[in-house]
Amino acid sequence: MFLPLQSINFKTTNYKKMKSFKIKYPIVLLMAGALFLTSCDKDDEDPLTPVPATYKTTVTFNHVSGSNALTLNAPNTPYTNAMGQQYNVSKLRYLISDVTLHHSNGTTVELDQYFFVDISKPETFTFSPSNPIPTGSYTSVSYTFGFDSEDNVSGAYAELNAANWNWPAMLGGGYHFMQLEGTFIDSSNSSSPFATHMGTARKFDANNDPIYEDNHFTVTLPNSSFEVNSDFKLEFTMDINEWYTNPTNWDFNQYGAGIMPVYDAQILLNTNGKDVLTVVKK
Amino acid sequence: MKTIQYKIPFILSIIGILFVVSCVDDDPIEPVTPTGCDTCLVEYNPTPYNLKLPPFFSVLPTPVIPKNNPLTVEGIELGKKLFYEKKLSINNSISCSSCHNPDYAFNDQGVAFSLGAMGQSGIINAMPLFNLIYADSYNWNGNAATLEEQIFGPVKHPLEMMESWPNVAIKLQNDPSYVTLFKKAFPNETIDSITTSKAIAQFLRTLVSGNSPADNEFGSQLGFPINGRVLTVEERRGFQVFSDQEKGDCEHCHGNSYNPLWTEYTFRNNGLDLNPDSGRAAVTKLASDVGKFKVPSLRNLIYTAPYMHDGRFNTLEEVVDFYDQGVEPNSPNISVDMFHRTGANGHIINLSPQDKKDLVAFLKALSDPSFVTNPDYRP
Repeated sequence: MFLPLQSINFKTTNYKKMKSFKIKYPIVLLMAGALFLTSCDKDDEDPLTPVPATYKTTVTFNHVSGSNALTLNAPNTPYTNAMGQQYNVSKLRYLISDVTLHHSNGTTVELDQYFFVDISKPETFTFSPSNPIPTGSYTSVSYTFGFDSEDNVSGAYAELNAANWNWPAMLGGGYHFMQLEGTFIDSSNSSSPFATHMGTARKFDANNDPIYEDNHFTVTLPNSSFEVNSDFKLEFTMDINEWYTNPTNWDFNQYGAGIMPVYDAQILLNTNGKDVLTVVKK
Repeated sequence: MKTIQYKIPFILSIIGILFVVSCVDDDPIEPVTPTGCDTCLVEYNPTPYNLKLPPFFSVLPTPVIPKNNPLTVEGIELGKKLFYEKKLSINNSISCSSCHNPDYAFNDQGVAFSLGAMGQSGIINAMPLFNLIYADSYNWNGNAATLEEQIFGPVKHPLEMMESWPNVAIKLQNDPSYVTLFKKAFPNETIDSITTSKAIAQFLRTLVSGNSPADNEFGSQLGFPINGRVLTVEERRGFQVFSDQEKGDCEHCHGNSYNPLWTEYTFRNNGLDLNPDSGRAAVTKLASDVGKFKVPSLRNLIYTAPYMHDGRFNTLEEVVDFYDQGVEPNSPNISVDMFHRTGANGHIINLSPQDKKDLVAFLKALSDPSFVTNPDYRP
């Protein structure tokens, strides 16, 4: 009889606000200046200047473990990492930002939102950025896993705050980049928890003072060229097994729970993570 | 239009006079109601209510009020009266406030299980009531998706008020003061489970708590205006224990300095028992949800003892000792966040006595004295 509470209207405005202020403001100023100059030169506008056609994109995410589709809370431990350790998954949330489409003419389109995916919530698998995307040939797609240091501002994103996505201040603050959790069959053949959480990496200097290392990575995806002449979809797929190999095999017995303060584990995720995502344009 | 009418009492009184005139006018076409003219002057012309949230809460998403039950001054007034109304119970012995006492952050005072209308014991700890507009489900197992739906439950529950909704409606319809209040609050004059639960839900949505020393500490750090003291040195040390991955690691479930809700409203098994209560699985029927309960907010803990869904711990010291040493690692579906290190005994923390003392001091500083004394929330 009663409608459920409408889902909370999460804001991503902070993200754009910060970006436009810090990066795009000078560009906008330049453009405004250029327009102003142009309008001084010529009073009449040229009605014959062609406006390039633009289209919309939909961004989707899906998830696999090697050749298996990824299912939450699957019975037993159906997945196997590169070290032959069997595991299952009870949680996967991650953050992608600065997805950028590189046009063959040298221009780029940076999608106007971050993507916070929670595989327990299918509504977070699909996003519709508002950017108009000009027609033409694109050479590649690039993205940032997590937030870069400019975006990784503690407390700046309401949606992420309410999701307890923050990374502790004593580990450098900002936000988590990923939470991948489940259980694995450990070296004594019993079920043990693992929590692959990724964010800012902390180490200590000679005086035992903390040093915080920005731990995001940016990847230009191979085989990601495409043509745009209509609305289209960008389908990202994450193979979670790629977190645990290439170049270095990850041992759940070594890095199971409690890895957030473990510097080497954080850096290893960064090193291994470059090939976790692939993209197909449809 | 409605707003204009309300804001201009002159027009209202003219309408009232016209109405009175039509009531006494001997016009054979207009039927005159012989009784009920006490209420026939009452019009549905509610005043929208603008819910004020603490400035610091702007770090959270803007809460959404359901479109089919907007907040109004009249609806909230009615809802408050109903919240304290014993006629909602079978023998007029208890009200919502009997188990949700405003002196104790709308939690029952010091008992694990509240008593129903006939003095019978419940089976789960009554939850405190505040900041409910931010939640996306209600009750320990999340079996109600909306506040309105939640309110249907306790009235007819055999361990709670034991009353039928039709009986509640009859009792309220026989009380002229309610006839007037319902007319003012809702466009049709029906007094039933739907309008009653809508009114109570409106009142509950006004219960906002955001003025603890921790709110003042973290709000002022972000430049928000505050109203009261910040944390002491001991409480600040306690927050470090709370946040430290190798100590409390409370953040994954209960949030951080940028989440003044002190929960993320997920369902988790915190490892209380090897054979846990069904919890969330009672709703979803999933084996993977056995033992999971709504992560409760840590706000107002000094008013809400005893703790856990079954009220098994009487003090915060007992709660901290449980998380430090007492977690059952083999409990089914236990949250991975209950493990702080890889390998055997990763669930045992070994906090120092000083850490425990500091942590308890911080937890108490999440309490908001202005909330439990707010006169707006009382009859």
